[in-house]
Amino acid sequence: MILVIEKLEVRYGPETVLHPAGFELSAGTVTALVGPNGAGKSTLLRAIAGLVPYRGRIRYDRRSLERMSAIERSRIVAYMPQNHGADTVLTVLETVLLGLHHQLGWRLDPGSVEAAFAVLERLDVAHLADRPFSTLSGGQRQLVMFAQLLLRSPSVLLLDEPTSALDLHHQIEILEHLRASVRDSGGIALVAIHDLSLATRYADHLLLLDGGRLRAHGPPLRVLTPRRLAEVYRVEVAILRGTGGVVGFVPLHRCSDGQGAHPTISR
Amino acid sequence: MASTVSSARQRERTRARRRAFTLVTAFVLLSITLLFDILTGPAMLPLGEVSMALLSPTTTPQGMVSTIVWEIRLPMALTAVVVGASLAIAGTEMQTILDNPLASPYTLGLSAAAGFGAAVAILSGAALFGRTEWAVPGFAFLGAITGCAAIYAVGRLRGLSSGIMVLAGIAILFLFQSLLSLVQYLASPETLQEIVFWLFGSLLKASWQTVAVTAVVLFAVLPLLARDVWRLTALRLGEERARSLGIDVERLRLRVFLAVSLLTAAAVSFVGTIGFVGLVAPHVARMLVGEDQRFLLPLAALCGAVMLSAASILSKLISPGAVVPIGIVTAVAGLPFFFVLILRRGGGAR
Repeated sequence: MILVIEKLEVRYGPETVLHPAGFELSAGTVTALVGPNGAGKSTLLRAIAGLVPYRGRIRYDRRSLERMSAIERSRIVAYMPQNHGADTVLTVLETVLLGLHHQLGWRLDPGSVEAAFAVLERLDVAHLADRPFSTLSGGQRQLVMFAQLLLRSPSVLLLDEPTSALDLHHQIEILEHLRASVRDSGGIALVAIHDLSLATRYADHLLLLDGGRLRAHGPPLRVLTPRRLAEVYRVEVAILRGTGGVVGFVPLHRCSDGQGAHPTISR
Repeated sequence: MASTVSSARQRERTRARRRAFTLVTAFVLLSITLLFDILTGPAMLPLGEVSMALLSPTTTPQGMVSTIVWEIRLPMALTAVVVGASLAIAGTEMQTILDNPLASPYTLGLSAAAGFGAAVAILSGAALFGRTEWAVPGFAFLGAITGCAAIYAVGRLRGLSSGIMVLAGIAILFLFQSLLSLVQYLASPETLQEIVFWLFGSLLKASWQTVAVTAVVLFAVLPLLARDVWRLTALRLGEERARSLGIDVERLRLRVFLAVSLLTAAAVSFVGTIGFVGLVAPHVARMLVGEDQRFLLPLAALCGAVMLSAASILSKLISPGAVVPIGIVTAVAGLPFFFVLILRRGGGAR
């Protein structure tokens, strides 16, 4: 299975927010989508999810997503937005169950409820099951919405900054679950993320966006070169290499002209 | 952790049982208020005779009692139940699709639009299908539908977004209130009195035809809404999240808006302006069973029916021998409820 993006372009009125971009994502892989604020990461994810109008073609398993109904598309592609501010008194269990809304009836089947509980247990948040969603912290909300995403078990998972409100433990937990889920199911994950160290550690590939254009894609360390980071982020970055292939990115100082990349520092 | 999870499961089961119990309690409460509504009235009939007339309408010797019970009290009591349920359902779904806790048939100007229609009919002395008694509800119905159509048309300009529809509703409220004032200004004192009485909202106009029409619309709309319970529940997570779940939010909003427009128009066209029920009943139901529409929808209907039924009883008890227009009772009784809701909401937001 492969997700093929061809000449994907998004415009808001006269403004082009995502210039024509093309790439392929393979089954069983996690791809991190990185780039500065306003680079078009969320727009790209929302376009693939079918939430904004776009030009170009998106195919999954040789089937065109544009020809699918909204519900059919949502069974293949699941999108987790970065905003979890819903002021709802729905419980956590109800919120997660809504991932299966298309197959739920007036009487809940015990299988769906157990599946929802199972996924909450996997993420260590089953104890929150009867809490109203609106009373959760930002990090708990992210975990609950991730649980909903996993319950849907889609082929393509699109996550917009899924770790932004999480502590270190849960950042790693969510990305490990994502990687395991994708590898087990042969799914495809595309994750917008700001933390370049996490992106490098958990993603098989990287897509670097800047100003609505796809600047580079490929293996993480080939994409995130000091010169490219300086050009895109306008920051001089030290790249630290630790044991076991761990890589860290330390911003040193701003560079106003987009030049002057710092050499890689190895440890 | 295992014990925490098993207690979470247990709490979830308890919650489901509690919701079912709440629904049953509301139904019992409605049965009681309905019975009391039938037993009370300005004619001060003995309870025994009313009960006798109710149980055996054909064999009772007291013809007048039977007529009062079967031709006046029962239609009034049942109209209160059906209209209360209709307004509450309309309010619940308006609040859901517009993502606004203050949305209701009253606050979005549909009652004002119906009032304008009724006032035009009264002022012009129009007839509908050759019958003058059908003109007022008919024109009120048309007024409410016109109000809905205007909100829809304005909303359509911005992809039926909730914000623009709420703003359109508020504009409609001011427009029809102004037009209503104009009609009242033009009316003679006698006509003005008639218009004002209609606007108070009253069950005295109820008949078996009223019950039949409002009930048919209610039972026609309910299955349509029932089909969408999970989609409507998902809408509470926010529009984008609902769309990412594969829900066509624009279409959902359109068909639910059409359904509740019909419900509102049918309800207010016969009984006049009744505020607060459509606003408050959904909040009461939401406090009791949460936002799962499988429970919220039926409980809101029951809450609305109980509230209007209780208001009907109150309207007959306030001034012995007379019936105070029910619209006045719901407004006065609903106000404290409204403040409690605002205060609770303010506290909860923090």
